[in-house]
Amino acid sequence: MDTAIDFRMRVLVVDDFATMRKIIRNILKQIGFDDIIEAEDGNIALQVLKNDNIGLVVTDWNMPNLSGLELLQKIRGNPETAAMPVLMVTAEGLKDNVVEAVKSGVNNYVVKPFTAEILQEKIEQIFKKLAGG
Amino acid sequence: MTTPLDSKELIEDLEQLALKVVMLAEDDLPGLGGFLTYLDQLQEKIDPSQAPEARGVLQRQIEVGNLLVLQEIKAPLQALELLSQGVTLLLEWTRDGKFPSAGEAWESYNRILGELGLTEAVPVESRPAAPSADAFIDDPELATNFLMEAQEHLEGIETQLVFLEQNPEDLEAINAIFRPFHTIKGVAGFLNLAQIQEAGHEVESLLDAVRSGNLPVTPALIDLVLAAVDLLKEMLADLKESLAENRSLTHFDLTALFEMIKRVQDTPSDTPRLGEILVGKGDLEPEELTEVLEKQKEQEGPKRLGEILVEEGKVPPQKVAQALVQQMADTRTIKETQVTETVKVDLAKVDNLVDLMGELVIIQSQVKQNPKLQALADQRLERDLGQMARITSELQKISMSMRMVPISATFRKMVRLVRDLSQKVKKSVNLILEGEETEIDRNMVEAIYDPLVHLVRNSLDHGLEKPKERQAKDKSKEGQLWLRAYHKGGNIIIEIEDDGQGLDREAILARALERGLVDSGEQLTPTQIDNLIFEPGFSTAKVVTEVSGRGVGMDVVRQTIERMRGKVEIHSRPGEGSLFTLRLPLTLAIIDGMVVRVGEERYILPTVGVRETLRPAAGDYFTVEGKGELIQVRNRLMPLMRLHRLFEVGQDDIHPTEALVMVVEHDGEQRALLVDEILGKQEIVIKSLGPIFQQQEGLAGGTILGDGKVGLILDLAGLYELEEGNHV
Repeated sequence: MDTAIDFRMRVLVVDDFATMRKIIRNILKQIGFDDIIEAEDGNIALQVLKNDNIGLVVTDWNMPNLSGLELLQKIRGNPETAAMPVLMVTAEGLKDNVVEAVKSGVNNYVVKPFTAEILQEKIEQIFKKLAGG
Repeated sequence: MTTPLDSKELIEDLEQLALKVVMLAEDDLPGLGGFLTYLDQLQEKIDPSQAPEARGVLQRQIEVGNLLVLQEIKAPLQALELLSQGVTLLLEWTRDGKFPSAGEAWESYNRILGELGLTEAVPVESRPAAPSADAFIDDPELATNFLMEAQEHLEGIETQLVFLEQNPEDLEAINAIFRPFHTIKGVAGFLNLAQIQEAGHEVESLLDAVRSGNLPVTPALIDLVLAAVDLLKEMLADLKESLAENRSLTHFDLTALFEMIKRVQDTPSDTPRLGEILVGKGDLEPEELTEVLEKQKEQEGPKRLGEILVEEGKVPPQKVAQALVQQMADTRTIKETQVTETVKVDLAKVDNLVDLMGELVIIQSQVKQNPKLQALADQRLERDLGQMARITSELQKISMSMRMVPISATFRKMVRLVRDLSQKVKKSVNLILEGEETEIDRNMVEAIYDPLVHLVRNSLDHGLEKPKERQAKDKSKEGQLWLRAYHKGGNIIIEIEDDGQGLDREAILARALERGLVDSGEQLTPTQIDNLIFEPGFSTAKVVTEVSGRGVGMDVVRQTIERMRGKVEIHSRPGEGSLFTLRLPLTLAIIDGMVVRVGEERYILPTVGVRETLRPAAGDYFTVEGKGELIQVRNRLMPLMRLHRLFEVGQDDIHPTEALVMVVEHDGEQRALLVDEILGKQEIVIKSLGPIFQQQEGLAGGTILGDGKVGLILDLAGLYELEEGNHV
């Protein structure tokens, strides 16, 4: 399939709920990603981003300690990670969150529950845009 | 009309915006995000009183931008066109100093608005139902993981709720409650658990309203969320069963929950929390509050509850002031437990590790004591052995700690219990948890739950007095109940303390006499009297209440704790309160034992069961027809059990005066145990005997002794039964 996604990249999944991380991991695998790493909160995610070569961050929005929004702002605020593609995972009904996230520079968002097709489409959009398409 | 800022700055801003709008694409979220941020900034720069039309256009731009982000607009391309026309209008306005409410741009702007159906207030379309996502949930572990995690989160909610009830304005607490519902709903959506998702969703929406300040935190709301937690727990339990039995899910009736939600939503938002604070503090009776609330409704014009209360003379002004201060000031937050990185490991593996470590410690000491090695008298060997001993003992500690969990989860269950019970018994209780982080062996957590529930119930039911009674005694209306845990001298201590009325010794003694637990002539110390409540079949409650009177008494508490080789102690001061202390070993894997010799065999007797050891005099030994052999210890006769006979080892006719008698106690009953010799006292690592010996009555397990041979650990309960079986 013609795709803008490089499936060799390492994807970081951030969610405080382990089951959710596993679900997202399964879906990412289904899409074709193989190198997936998990973080259970925003602070750990920042550590991972600092020390690891991450190609895409898929993060939950509602998390204790460091929310998805705060994580995004920290990513964008650090010159080394400012260009990191970030996909927001949110729930229906939380529209204010989405608008806030988009204003803060999230690359795309996906509403739970989602299918592999939907997630793939969203990631596809991100990388197409980044490639200047 | 002139532009409020006939500055170059605004024109430059708008030109930037015009550039951005040309580059926009419907699916370019970062682009839309930048555009919206820009609009936000512009909005702050335009004074609404001076340029209502411009302000209106700007507002509309933001709305349309949001709809594009949310993909809730039917014709995104037209929406982009609208944004573009809007920017043109704003540009013209700033350049000409007059809003172009006529002309080409204005007409085309309004035409597109009409086509998009946006002439009226922006409609919010509901998102199309998310597609079913079961196709890729083929991981059998997922549901199990979900069950565990959801359970944990629900328990967390209960504590937060009770806290929230006391601190209704605490946003962090609301968030902490919102989050688990949110997540449970989210995962349930993926796992196709429609009902869990539905229930989670409804509560989540409600909590979202609370979060955004549109709904107050009321007792009704707390009750509702607690009910929802209970319902979800039931649904999870059903899911667990259905997974185990491979059956389909039970359909739950959610209408009751939804009705509750509707009722809470319909409650006017100005619900007087002040009244509840006053009732909570005992300054106002609930009936009085209802009465005053009725009056408040009848009054013309809004009148504050506090005012009416003072006018009516129900509550003194300073009390109202205090309550108001409390209402505002109480915003401390529950400390979030620190998140550390963890790995989940099968408990069986950890158990195995702990066992093996125990053996390693033993073999290590055997090597060290090996006479041949010692004869070498080699300094280097000795140093190395010493080093090995240190490392082994450190390893043992670590492996043991892997099985330790904080007691907080157990304590938190008590928070919910106390809340529910205090409502039932109409007592107001302040529960204080101390030492929640204290760690306890994972295998003991479940075993201590029932005794704790029992003791907490007991305190609430019999210990703490009703508010009026407390007041009469110059006590605070709110009863204090402490739950404490700490480590002390190789034990974990759990304390349940209340500042209630203490034990009623007269009533206890009377009941004990009535039940024949003591003789009327017996002189008992206060401690002995207090301890009578642990005797089997004892219960002092004058009225059997729904709370405590369930037929099981405190004897069950003592039995359970003793089964874990622990102890229960009471310290009671009449009129001031009671303190129950549970003293438990840190771990169930290691016990203090007395090693005794019986014939050629060695047995280990857990030290907790041993009362004393003696060599009986000839006159203290009796044989009674039908009762067997008896030993008299300080005027008390107790049956003699011969381990030789029970286990068929060594001589079985040895005379007690030539051997040793150990007085042991189990379940309140003392017996004499005949052994040949006491070899010493030591820490013992319990090992399971395996399937063959599991049926062996009278044995709790085995251990490997210092010389490498196996010693069997005696189980008193089993021994008693074995002995009785022999008599029949």
